[in-house]
Amino acid sequence: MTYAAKIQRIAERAEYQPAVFPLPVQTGWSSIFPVEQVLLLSPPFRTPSSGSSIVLPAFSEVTNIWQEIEASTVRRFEFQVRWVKQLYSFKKPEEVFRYLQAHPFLIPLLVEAHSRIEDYFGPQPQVVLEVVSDPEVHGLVKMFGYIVTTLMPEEAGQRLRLFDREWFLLQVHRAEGLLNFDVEFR
Amino acid sequence: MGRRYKNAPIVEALCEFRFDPGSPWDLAIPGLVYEKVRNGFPKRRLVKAFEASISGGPEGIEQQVKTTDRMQFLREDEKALVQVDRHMLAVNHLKPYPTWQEFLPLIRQGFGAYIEVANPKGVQRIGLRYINRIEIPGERIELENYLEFRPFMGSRLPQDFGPFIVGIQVPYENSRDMLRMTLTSAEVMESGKTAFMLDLDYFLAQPGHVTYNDVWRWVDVAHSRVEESFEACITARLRGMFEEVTEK
Repeated sequence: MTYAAKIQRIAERAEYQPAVFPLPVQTGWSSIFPVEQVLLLSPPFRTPSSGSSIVLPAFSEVTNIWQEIEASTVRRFEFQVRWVKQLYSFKKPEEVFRYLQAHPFLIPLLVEAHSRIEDYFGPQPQVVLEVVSDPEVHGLVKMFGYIVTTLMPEEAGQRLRLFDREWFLLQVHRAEGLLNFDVEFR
Repeated sequence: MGRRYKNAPIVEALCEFRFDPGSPWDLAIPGLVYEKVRNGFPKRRLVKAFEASISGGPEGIEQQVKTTDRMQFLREDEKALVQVDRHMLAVNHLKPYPTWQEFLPLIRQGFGAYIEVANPKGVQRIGLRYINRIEIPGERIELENYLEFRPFMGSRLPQDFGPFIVGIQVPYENSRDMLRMTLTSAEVMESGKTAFMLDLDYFLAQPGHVTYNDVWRWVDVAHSRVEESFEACITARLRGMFEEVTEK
């Protein structure tokens, strides 16, 4: 039995039905919607009691409802940039966008870095991405992630050093010298 | 043969094959495929691909986005590439898109190499997809002047709207195949323009219903359907902006 058919059967057995749109049998639950619409641009799914707009049936077993493997490089890039935009603020967005377009290998690193920054600076840190000219090397343009903090300078510096030593310096080869992090005081 | 345009909006065309997941798989397969295509696609790149899934269980709904390693083999100019992942092959062509007659041999080359090396049990899904980025001068435009496929807002609804997404799936061949058409507003890099992404994806919706012998006939039909759908999506005014190239 296909996943879609399985889900359809579970939905038929469930006490409430999907409210907004039914689960198509053949093509997968959210196949009309690109993955970013479902996962990133929408709020997380909620239970019916919390007033959800999308109601999903209860499950008695773990079932893979839907899976998307993106083969388009253009769409993947868009998706990744949107993901980065969910995590970071962009200063001069056009420059940041162009920089990521030219150096797409930075994207997974930025995504990973954000959760590491959380480990050292607390949940949902505000980090601003900016493309800047390196004052030390003529012609070198780098991306900086400025971690905005209200911590005292000494404390913030210590956390940044720990972040560098315990994680970023181990990943620095992936950045190819084009990404760095610093703190910015509010 | 379809129309050709001087300012064709295609930013990417791709043909994607997903093979029976019960087929044998070996981590050496991407490297062996590379050996077969390296003359045309000499550059190698390992990329992190995002795989998203939603699963349900006793604890509720779980969304997962994880990264997987995917091999890309690129042509010298990096405008065409072959991608190999677990039970998956894709052949992509970026802008500037040549012609179908030039793109098809690349697909054949990639497919032939994968089949020879991996010997999969069968084809689960095939998709032929054309992604178009349409840019129109002006920050406020009337969609109906350019597109025959667009969001419809009834007269009692506000007629001015911002970002949007509209999508539809059209069944073909007794629902064996589907054409997924999606139109979304897109970000623009320079002010004074409006941009859309028109994504046409014709795919095999019923796994296993195309045999290896039928693959190329299926691909040809898919191309015709995508092409005719694209032409049906745009108005004469937009076609004029693409500047049709006529053979003399």
